[in-house]
Amino acid sequence: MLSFNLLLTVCLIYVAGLFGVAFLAEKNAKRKKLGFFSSPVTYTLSISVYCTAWTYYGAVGSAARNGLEFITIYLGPTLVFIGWWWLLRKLVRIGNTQRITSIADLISARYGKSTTLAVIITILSVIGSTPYIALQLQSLTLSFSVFSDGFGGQDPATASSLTALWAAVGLAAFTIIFGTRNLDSNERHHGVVSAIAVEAIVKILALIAVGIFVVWGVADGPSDIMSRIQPEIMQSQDIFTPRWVTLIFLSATAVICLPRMFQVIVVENSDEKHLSMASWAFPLYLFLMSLFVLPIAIAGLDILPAGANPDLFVLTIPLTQNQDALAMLAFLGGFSSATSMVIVAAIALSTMVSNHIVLPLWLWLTLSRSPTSEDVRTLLLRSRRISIAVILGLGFLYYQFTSGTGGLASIGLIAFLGVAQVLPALIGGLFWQSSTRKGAIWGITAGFILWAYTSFLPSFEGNFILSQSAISNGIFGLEFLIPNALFGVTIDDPLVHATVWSLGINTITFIVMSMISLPRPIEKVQASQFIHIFDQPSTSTTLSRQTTSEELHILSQRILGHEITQKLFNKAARTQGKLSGQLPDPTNDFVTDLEREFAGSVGAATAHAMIGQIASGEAISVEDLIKVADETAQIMEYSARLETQSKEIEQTAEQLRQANAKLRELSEQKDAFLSQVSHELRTPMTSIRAFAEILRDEDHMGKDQISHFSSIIHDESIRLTYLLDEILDLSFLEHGKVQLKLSFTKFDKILKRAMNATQTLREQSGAEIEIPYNLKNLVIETDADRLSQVLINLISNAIKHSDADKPIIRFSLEHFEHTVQIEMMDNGKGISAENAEIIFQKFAKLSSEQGAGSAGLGLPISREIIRNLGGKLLYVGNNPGAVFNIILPHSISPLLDPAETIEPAD
Amino acid sequence: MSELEDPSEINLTSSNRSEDKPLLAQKRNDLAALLPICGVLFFATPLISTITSDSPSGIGGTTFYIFSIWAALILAAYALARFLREDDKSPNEAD
Repeated sequence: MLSFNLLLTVCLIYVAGLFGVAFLAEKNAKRKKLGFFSSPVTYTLSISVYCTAWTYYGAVGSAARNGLEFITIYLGPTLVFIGWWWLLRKLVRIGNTQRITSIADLISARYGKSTTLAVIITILSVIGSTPYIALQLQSLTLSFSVFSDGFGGQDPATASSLTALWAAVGLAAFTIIFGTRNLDSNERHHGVVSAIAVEAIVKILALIAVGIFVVWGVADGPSDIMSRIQPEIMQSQDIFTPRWVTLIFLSATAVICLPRMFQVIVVENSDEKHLSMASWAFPLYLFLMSLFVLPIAIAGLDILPAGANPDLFVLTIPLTQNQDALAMLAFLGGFSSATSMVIVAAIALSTMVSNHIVLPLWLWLTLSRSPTSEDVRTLLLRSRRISIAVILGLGFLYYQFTSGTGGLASIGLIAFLGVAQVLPALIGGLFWQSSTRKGAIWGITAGFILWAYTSFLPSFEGNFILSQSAISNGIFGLEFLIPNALFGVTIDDPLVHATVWSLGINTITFIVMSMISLPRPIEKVQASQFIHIFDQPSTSTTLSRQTTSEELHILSQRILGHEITQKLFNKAARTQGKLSGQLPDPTNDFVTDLEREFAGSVGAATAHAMIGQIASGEAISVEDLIKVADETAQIMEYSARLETQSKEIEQTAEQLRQANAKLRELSEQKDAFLSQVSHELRTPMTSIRAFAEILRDEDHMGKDQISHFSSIIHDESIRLTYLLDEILDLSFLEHGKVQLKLSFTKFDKILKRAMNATQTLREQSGAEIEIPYNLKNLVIETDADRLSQVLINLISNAIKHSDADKPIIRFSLEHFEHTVQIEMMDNGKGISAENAEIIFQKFAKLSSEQGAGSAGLGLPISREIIRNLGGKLLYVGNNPGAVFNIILPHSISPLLDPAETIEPAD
Repeated sequence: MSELEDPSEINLTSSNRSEDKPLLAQKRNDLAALLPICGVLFFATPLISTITSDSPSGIGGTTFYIFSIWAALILAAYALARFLREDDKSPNEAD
């Protein structure tokens, strides 16, 4: 048998070792050479703070009493961790970007940095965790009492009280030394985490060692163990019960919501990537922790005398088998479980208490004075140290108060349910945009009250607030208020009953209150920052620029310390392009950064309040600023809308202006055309009128004269008619209203017609026309009359304007895929550049000469005809005489619309 | 017609190419959700009691069921973590 003194010695050596590890890690952290101490392995091991003494010893006890039920406590966290991508990753990312220091801080930050909410959650956490700390103290004293021979004849009760007291004092000392060494802006405690990682290894090694000893040392392997199975463990009824599901749910919730779990998973996380390892390694750890629980329970029931406490099987089996070393290891495992939980819980709770209760209170008390006049840093550290002592003291008192009642055994699950009240607000905050502060406050408060009434207070079995009769008959004897059957809802299992009531009402209240209340502007800002944490780099809330750099500098020194402040301010000054030594301007970016740094030390809500207070002389709150920003945004949106509208109007005006210009141009063209036409008509009309007047007034006129004048009138009339015909023709052609008589015609035939029409002209000038053989044989689908009209016009123009003695007109033909190109070239001097521009214009009179009786409509009409025939008439230049190209399609029929032109393949 | 089709086809393929990454990330997210759902399905639904029988070895069977599913989930989580880490370039790396 181990002596108590030896046990104590080993224990103290072990604790000294932990101190050493913690010191080493802190030292390395200072030199920024953390290595193993900030590896994902350490991170994963630190999460095992989940496995407290309650699970270390209690799991075997639970297995001995209820069979497989113990496993639910491990399955819940497993589910949360394998689903890390959805919840934990988001939590960790938010924790890192918003410098979250605790679960209360997270929820308060999400709902508009609400101090009320932070206080409620802090109180809830302290109430939920104190019994849990007491439970650890109890298991410590229990495990010591196994070796109680060495107490030296003291009364066992006093002895265990003494053990608990010493344990509480020792733990408080360790936590204060390593948990409040400094105020890290990240709120990370490398020393503590490293020590906990070591304890995690001891825990699991101890349990596995005992398990292996039991299976292969006490029994003959797994099958032997299973054959010794007791009827108590064997479950006759279905394993799937409401209690089973509730336990999985509660343990899953606990791993997120318990303050100490939030501390190790979110706050102590230095790198998001560590989480991906923890996602499988932590479930593996739990798997190994639970692997030997059942065999140890079976063996304990088998070999130990009836009535032995199954909670202590892990210790008592090796002891009765005289395996002192193993017993010592098992003891250290239990010791590690208890101490690591208490240390982390104390740190997490003290952070919450000092950030959310002490500091706001102090701020409120010193509201009239400047917050910079006191050293916030010292105050924070002191309040944390005192909080740790108070929390452990509360745990000890609770232990003293309840020891012997047996109420402690079930407190683990009750605590789980207590902290689970935070879950609806947490999940809503991470995924539901319209959840509001009111919803969260009311939901958590309602859940908290119901939890206290249905679960927490009845666990004292009538010793605290609720009397025994109130528990069994309802408060004031009102039956519908019986804590275990609220409103007559009878659920066999009190835990399931309490879970359904408290979380159900909590969730409903949260949703309903969120729906009927409106989020404040700052809540909206925080909501989108939290929910869309992966989408955005992180925007910042604005603060008053009235804050002066000096004030901020003083405040920062108080909170963050001289060194960090100097570093921060220098960095900001550099980025603002200032000389070193100068203070940076209090820009929004800088102030937001600073606030975030403060948040790491004092929590988001308080940091916000403190920085806000500096600016409060100007009486501008962030809410005001956001409101202003909102209004500004509305005005900007409005003006932007106006701008687009005016742009649209401008565009329309421009279009109208263009249309107007076009109309004016068209109208001018029409006027010009009309004046041209009237001018053209005037000349023949004048002569007709003149000669008609002569004929009318002169009585003595010879017959010859009469006939001469009449023939002039006749000729002029014909010219007039011809001109009008041309104008009409052009108008028809331009509007595509001409009727084309299409047929496949040999080009020779069309040419002959043109030759006949121009015969006189040709003979007079002695012109010669050269037509190649292939052109004569060309057959195209076209209007022969119209085409010959074009040819006549072109030939007569060429002859009329030719200055050669003997005009020669040469035709040539070129075939393309869909078109033919007929080229006509003369031997004249060509068309001058200025005339080339106007030859296709109506009534164009060439500048150099007067057209002999021509109205200047020939070429425009020709061009329109060719266009109507689906081709193009082009003047291509001088060579040296003028060269015209007529491009025509082989067949015009596929072109349904005769007005449509096809692009020549040139 | 063919002239009309071509540009739209080009658009389609180019937009597909640019959407490849978000699409992959979406698939990855979906895969990450599958695992906890499987876990809940195997552990917190009546599925777990289908293995339990009335025979004396009932608890052995259930224990075996729970532990083997558990081990499978851990292995799957390991594979998933590796897969997710390969793709995920968290902004922390840029810092």
